[in-house]
Amino acid sequence: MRLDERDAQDRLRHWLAQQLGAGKITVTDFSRLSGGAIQENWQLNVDVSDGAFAGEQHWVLRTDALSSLSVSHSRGTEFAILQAVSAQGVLAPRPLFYCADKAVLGRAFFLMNRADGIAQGHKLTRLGLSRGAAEALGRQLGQQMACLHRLGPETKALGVLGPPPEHPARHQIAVMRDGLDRLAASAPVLEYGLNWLEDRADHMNPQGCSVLCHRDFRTGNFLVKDGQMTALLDWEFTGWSDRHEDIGWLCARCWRFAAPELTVGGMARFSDFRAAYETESGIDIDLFALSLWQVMAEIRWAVIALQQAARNDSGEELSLELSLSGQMVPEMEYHMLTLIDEIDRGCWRDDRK
Amino acid sequence: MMGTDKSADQRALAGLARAVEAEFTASVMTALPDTQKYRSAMMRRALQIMTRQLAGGDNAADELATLTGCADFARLAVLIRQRKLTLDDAQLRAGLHAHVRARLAQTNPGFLARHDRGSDNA
Repeated sequence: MRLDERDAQDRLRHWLAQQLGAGKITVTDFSRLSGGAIQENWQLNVDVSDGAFAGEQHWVLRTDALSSLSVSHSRGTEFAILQAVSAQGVLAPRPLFYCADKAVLGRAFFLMNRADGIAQGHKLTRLGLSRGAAEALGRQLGQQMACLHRLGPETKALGVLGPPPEHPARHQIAVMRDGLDRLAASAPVLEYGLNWLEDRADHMNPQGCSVLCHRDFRTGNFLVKDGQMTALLDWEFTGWSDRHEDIGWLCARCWRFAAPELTVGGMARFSDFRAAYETESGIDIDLFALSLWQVMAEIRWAVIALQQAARNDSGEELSLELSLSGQMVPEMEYHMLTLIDEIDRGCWRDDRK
Repeated sequence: MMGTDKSADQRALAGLARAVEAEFTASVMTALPDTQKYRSAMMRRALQIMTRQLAGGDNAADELATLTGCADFARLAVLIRQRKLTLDDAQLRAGLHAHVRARLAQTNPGFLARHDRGSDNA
């Protein structure tokens, strides 16, 4: 069912009126937002006549894309995660309503508040923030990630995520190999990287515990306005893992866009992020574990890119964007091999950038 | 009936792809409104990759196949995962590096140039 059809919008308006207990709902804008290869995000502006939400509201409707990755959560699980992390104090879009009834739009969806700011990595890493502003943003990112990592498997509201993996790195290696097998991908470079990580997996869970990891916390997935992060988006991969997985993903070389010299997502220096993270969490970041999870980040993004390209190649969802993702895989492989060389030669220096 | 000359066919296809890319860049992209800039840039990038791949052939795969003695990359991936490749680790890593560089020369030569200038390790 296409969401831009009149019938779909009428059903949505009717459902909204029931949820809000409002007499009249006027949809003033309902348009698809750019980005979102896995999920669809729609800007939804409504005028509510009365009730608790009376007035003009600016929301985002989030639903599945026509085809999605099997490893991403359902919208119901993502809604539960948003509720839990918002209660923890993490800057996430405030979840409002969830609808599992496919009679409304043909697929499950939820509504959340729309936060202001820019998310596009190419724009953010060209903002030219002053040194002070970049320091503040680096500290805020560290504080926010540590705040998220305070949530552990004992959190009842996150029971939907199931138990944590016994060993996060070995689990992730198995997931990557399974992903390659399902794609029937010929990826000797990635296989080499996975073997190399497997030999060092014992160093990838230094605290011996799992915490709640966003697992896609990187430039492009958080909004920035006036130099401040306003919201962390896209919680579809969230799960239990080693904290260094999130740090390695944010600091991965593939996510620095126009500013490869800045370790923290091309936006900030690592020292600022690290100081805030360690203060907030009371945990020291293990630099060797971080460097290994950076290698994993390159492999994981490469596997996701192959999965995206396969969606186009199979004809399931023709998309130039998805197809071009597959053409980026050699870039991740280059970063992966370069990191491996640096780590083996003892000249990895991302903590100093 | 005429025989087929694969290399001549490939040269002709590469020439065709170059012509499409040039026409697209000169005539179509310039006429598009700003709202279509991103999508047209993606199309141009796709055309450039196709042009380079048609012109360059499969040299990247050939060299790794020669080094490892395995022309079937699906098989090579299995051998690496099972650690059954009888090749020194340093040799294999160097071969994989060269393979990746050759693929980057087709998919994103700008990336390679930037990293060769050392911007990644600044």
